[in-house]
Amino acid sequence: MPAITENSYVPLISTIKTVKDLTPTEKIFEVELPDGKQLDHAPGQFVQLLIPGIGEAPISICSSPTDENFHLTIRRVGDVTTAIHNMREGDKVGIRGSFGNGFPVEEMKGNDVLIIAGGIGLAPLRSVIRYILANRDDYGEFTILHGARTPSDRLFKDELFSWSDSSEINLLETVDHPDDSWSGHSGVITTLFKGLTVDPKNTYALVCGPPVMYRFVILECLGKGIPDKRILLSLERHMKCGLGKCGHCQINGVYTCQDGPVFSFNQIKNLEEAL
Amino acid sequence: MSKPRIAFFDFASCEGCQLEAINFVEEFLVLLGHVDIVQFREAITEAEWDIDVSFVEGSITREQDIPRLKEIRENSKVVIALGACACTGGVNAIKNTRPLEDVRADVYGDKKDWFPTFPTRPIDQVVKVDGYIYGCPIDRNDFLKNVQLILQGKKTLRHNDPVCVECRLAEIECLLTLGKPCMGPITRGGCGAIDPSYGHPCTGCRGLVDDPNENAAMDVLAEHGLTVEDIRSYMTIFNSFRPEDIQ
Amino acid sequence: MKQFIFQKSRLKDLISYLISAYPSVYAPVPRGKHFVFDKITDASSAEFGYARTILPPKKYLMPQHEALVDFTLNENLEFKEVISADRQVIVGVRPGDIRAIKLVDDIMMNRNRDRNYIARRENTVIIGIDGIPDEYSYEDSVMDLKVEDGFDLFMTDLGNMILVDVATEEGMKIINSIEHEPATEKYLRLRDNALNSQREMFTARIDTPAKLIPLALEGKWDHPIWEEMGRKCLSCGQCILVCPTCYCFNVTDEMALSMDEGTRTRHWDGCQLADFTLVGHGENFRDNAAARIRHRFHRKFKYHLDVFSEIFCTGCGRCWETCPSGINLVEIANALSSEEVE
Repeated sequence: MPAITENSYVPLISTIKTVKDLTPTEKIFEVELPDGKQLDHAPGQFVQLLIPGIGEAPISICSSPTDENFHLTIRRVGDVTTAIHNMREGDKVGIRGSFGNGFPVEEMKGNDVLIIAGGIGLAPLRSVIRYILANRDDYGEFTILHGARTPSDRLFKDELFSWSDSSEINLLETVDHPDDSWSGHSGVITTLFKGLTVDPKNTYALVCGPPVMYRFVILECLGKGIPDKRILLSLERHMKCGLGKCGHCQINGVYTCQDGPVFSFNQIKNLEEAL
Repeated sequence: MSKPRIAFFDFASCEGCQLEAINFVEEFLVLLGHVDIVQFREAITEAEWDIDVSFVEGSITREQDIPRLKEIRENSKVVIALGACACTGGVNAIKNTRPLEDVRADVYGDKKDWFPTFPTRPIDQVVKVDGYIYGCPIDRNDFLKNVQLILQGKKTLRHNDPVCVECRLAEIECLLTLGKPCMGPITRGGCGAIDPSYGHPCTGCRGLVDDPNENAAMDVLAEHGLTVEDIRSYMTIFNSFRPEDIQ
Repeated sequence: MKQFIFQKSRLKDLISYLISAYPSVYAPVPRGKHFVFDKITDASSAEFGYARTILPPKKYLMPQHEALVDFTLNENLEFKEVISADRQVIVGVRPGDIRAIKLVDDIMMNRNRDRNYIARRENTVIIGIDGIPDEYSYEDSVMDLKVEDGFDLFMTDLGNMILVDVATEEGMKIINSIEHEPATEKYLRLRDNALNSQREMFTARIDTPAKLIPLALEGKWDHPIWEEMGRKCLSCGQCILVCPTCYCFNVTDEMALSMDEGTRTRHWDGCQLADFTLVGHGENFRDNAAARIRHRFHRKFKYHLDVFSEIFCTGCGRCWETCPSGINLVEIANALSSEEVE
């Protein structure tokens, strides 16, 4: 793990470069570290975002290390996320990290990639999607299954549009509750697996979404013959330190902040508390 | 930016929590640099509505309290329940454990019909409440911390860790190990374990934690020599209110 | 390591020397019917006839509430690490607590180094003393009563005399403050005898060799003992707060009254409290007492054993004595392993 300050508890004072609304409850923030420092994160890692005086929260990085600065997609749910929603370009925040293992983008090279993203789970997966697009020749077939609650809950609508248009990606989308604006597929995300052809010996499945989604998606992936070692899930837990000490994120014997947040289903099978 | 405007209101209560607030007005003065008090006991004039934070003390015990509380809610951006009566119904809710007619006869005798009341309820049974400052009375440090949080736009402290946490961290002898019945294990903390620090058992004034294991607590109290009757009366001092009382 | 003996009556002089030589000396002192480690300024306040203190001496290495980072808001946003560590001596530390400090040292000093802990630890002198088991003690079931390191001095009470192991130069300097002489074979044998008779005093025992408990745990994830204990558990958190090998924490921002500066503060926290695994949108990943107790037991006897090859329980009995419902790890361990035999 790159320690970007000498004292792991002292954050780097960073600047919000841009803020954009994604949905009524989600915004995307571009953050710049001080003195030209680079985060050098791996796709799938997270940072601890500190709003001085308010508190800290673990936030997945939704940009690729190949992007300039880094981006955080944040849903307004608690004190920290509400506070940053009230902040503007130029405001200062504290950043610690990056933390966690991230997705094994090196190991995945030469293979097909199947992304399964539910709701805000698209945010951490966007980091790996953008990374693969920046290194498109290194990977095989690239499929994204994306599910949202309603059409207006879809994050990154512009990007979804360009991905759907792109010959480099096969994007399949669904919404649980369609409205008049939606002419696409509706139903839960597992319905997208129907008719999907997967080369099971040669595919990595990357999964992130609400906790209830995992069991069903794993069954679908196993049903397609993808081996459990190559079904990769990003998990969410309460975290305070990011250093494998405070204990909040422990799942059985592993610390999500250090050993995760990405686990293979092969690992998770032995973690009774994971799903 | 103009200073947030705060106000205090009270319903059925001893006004002790407001008194506690006045008690540390010196500490509070520093905060006064951050807020304007627009209402403290006196009647509100219309011009003074438009309140940012209303602290409401007391429980709701009469029909005529309801429109007044609703008016406060409508005119306040944030409503905070101040003290046990507002948060949980407090001691006023003991009356809910007996038939209302009997209670009124006990208190008002043959004039009981002059004073209509209904079962006591905490204010969140009437209006949406944005935060809670627990205790009978409130703890000054806890109050101050919460006011800071409110001014920062944060939620008030959940205090879902029981009193035992503060007792243990301060190495106050566990009163249960000394054979004294104590509600600490299932009572919301945040009081600095003030009672146990003076050797007095906790009586649950800050309300019970979410999802308290009341059966285990009763077993523990019974083990320390309390009868079922004792335990029941102990547990009802501050925690009598049940939502079904007002249905 | 060198061994010396000194007259027990000289212990007071040794403590007086410590008080004169170090800014802070902490020792066990009575509090009501219990004992606590507290700062002493008079050698006669220290009392060593105790079974356990309410909190372990860990509180001097990782305080219950500890400033980590000071910050100022507004245009001059700034974060500054807060490290304050004066020289300190903890005297009268039981073998189990010495072992616990070693375990927490490893966590805090060898991986993702914790600068606050390290500063305190490196400024701390530890003077141990052999234990006095009572009905809640079970050190003998989980560790070797004879500790070989993790202290500067270690004293064994031999009646009129005290045998002292000197492990560090600083320890040697301290022992030089009083009259002492090298320990002869006779005294080393007396120490062995004292340890042997101490082993006889334990009434609480884990039946299985402790390092084999992970085997007893296999297939017991849904064992009824967890539900049984969950029904008794008040989730008051006392067990994890008094535990010498627990080190979980929370960090909060605390504002000064001026509201333009504050401190990020670390507080002891732990897995038996209901909110420990609660995330922002309301999901609680360990939302019942049975699951929390199961986690605590695994953390003490399996998870950390897998990684660190050490049992994270010292048998001090603090969690047992303090639990209002009398929940204890000995009973759980024995329930799990007795079924193994059946």
